[in-house]
Amino acid sequence: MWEDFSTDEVTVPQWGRREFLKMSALLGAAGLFAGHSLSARAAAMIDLPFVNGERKLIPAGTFPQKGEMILQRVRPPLLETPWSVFDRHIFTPNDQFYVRWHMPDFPDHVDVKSYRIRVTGLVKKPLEISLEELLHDFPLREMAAVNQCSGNSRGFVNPRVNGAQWANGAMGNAVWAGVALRELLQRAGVKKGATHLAFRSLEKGMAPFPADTRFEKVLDLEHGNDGEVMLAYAMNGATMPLLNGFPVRLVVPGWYSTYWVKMLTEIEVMDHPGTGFWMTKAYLIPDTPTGYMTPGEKGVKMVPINRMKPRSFFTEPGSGARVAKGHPVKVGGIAMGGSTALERVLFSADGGAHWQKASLGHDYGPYGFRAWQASFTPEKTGAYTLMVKAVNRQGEEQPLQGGWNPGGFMYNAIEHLPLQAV
Amino acid sequence: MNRHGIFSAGCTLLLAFGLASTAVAGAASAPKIHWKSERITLPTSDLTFTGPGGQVLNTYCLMCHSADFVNEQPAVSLVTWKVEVNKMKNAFGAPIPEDQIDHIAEVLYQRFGPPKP
Ligand code: HEC
Repeated sequence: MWEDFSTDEVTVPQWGRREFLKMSALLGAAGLFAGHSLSARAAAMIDLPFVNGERKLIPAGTFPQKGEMILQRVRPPLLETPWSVFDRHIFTPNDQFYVRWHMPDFPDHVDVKSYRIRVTGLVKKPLEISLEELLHDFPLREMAAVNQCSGNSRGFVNPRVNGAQWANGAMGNAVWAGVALRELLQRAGVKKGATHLAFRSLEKGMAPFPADTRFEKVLDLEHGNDGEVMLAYAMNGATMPLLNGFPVRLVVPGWYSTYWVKMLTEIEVMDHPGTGFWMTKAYLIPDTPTGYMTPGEKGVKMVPINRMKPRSFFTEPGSGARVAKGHPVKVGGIAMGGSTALERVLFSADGGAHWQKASLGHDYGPYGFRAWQASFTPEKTGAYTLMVKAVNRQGEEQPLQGGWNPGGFMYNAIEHLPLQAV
Repeated sequence: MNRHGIFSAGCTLLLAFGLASTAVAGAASAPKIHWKSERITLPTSDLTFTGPGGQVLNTYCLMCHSADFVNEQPAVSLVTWKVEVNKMKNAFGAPIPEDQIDHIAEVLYQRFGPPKP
């Protein structure tokens, strides 16, 4: 897309109309020649339940290798999984797995022959691993894990904050197959004094973006070496769609997706924390026990986002459904423990006054979704408010009110489901 | 309407790619992967900003992300809009002249209105 675009042209200090047109021809409108314009296509609309939540529901095939999705942004793509998908699948199909890119110059192609994953920095033996080697020379690791955007559900954050206005569908559950990062680090031999691991990708970051905005995420060495953090080359038994990080994506179970670097090409072993934009300026949360703060609060220390919080959701019945008085109603959905296993799911049919334990579906491992089910019988006609709450192994439970931080991250308030008994 | 969807669909899917017998039992065998280079063509957006101030937004806000993204934003304070526009310039290198920042923030504030309680 940006290939034949020289740096000189981009750094024109104040853009005239001519430069701007040239830029749009190369960036946005590039697709007028390459792809098809999305506004020319008919699409159904969907109303996400917050102010200014009207979005296009785009048909399968609108984006390559993707099925029907909620369109949050054409370029660079932000695609949300329609909620009905979670009702049908405990593992989110690859073609309806949400998509999230930051920069318009992200790679649109991958050459599998020349693709290498490099392990560099403080190692005894730097590595250059081809995809074939990754597949055949290391033991297979498989893990069910939820990948959730830090800003999932941002549209529900109150007061509202800027950023992608997702409902609850910027998450997905998959079985990831690949190699534990520990295997690579062992083979390379980590030198004394190493403390951190930087992860980089095929995303190069071109002008006008400043150099420090090249995508790079950093984890503590100890975390990356825990045997769980892995390099996935398959999701749900197949290679992943390019938009989800083909050919190899970092999997950081229990942590928000910002660390799950797509198109992973380099792991640098370092003796210092990350210094780039995506670790020091973006994806920061208040350094408080909850990661939340009071809106407008000044002088709050910020730290990189990290562990996920527990969450639970309704998938049936649908919001506002009418049910028959005196008959048992089956309710259910999905839940996750976040950074640790799910301990229990509690369900309330009376707006939170009483809670009952839901039964849980098959346990595919601590980091994946678990289905939950419960039943209640409305004894009277009228409005009911159902609630569901997840509690994890560490005793962390979902709050009644959503917390707030400036990024609109880590929303996990208890879900409410209105029902009418008739 | 799929009333029993979750429990059954989950299990069916699982058997389909063999997790139950591999990851759980620990004796894994590699999924069948055949590496093939990929090249995609993305759809584009020709959506532009209209209405008051549309011109200035078209000049400075279409380069790095499509207009839908800006249109979908919530109503926030004028100060917050100013922070956003400055972020586009300082963090991301948007070529926005210094003397346009306040004007653009004002345009955005007028577009979305005051924050709703
Ligand atoms: C030089 C590139 C560039 C230009 C020009 C640009 N932006 Fe951005 N903008 C970005 C990037 C990069 C992001 C982060 C994208 C993401 O998170 O997906 C972003 C994010 C945003 C967000 C979401 C909130 C946030 O801070 O992440 C808003 C709102 C926004 N831009 C508005 C604007 C407006 C209004 C203009 C025109 C005045 C503009 N942008 C021009 C690069 C740019």
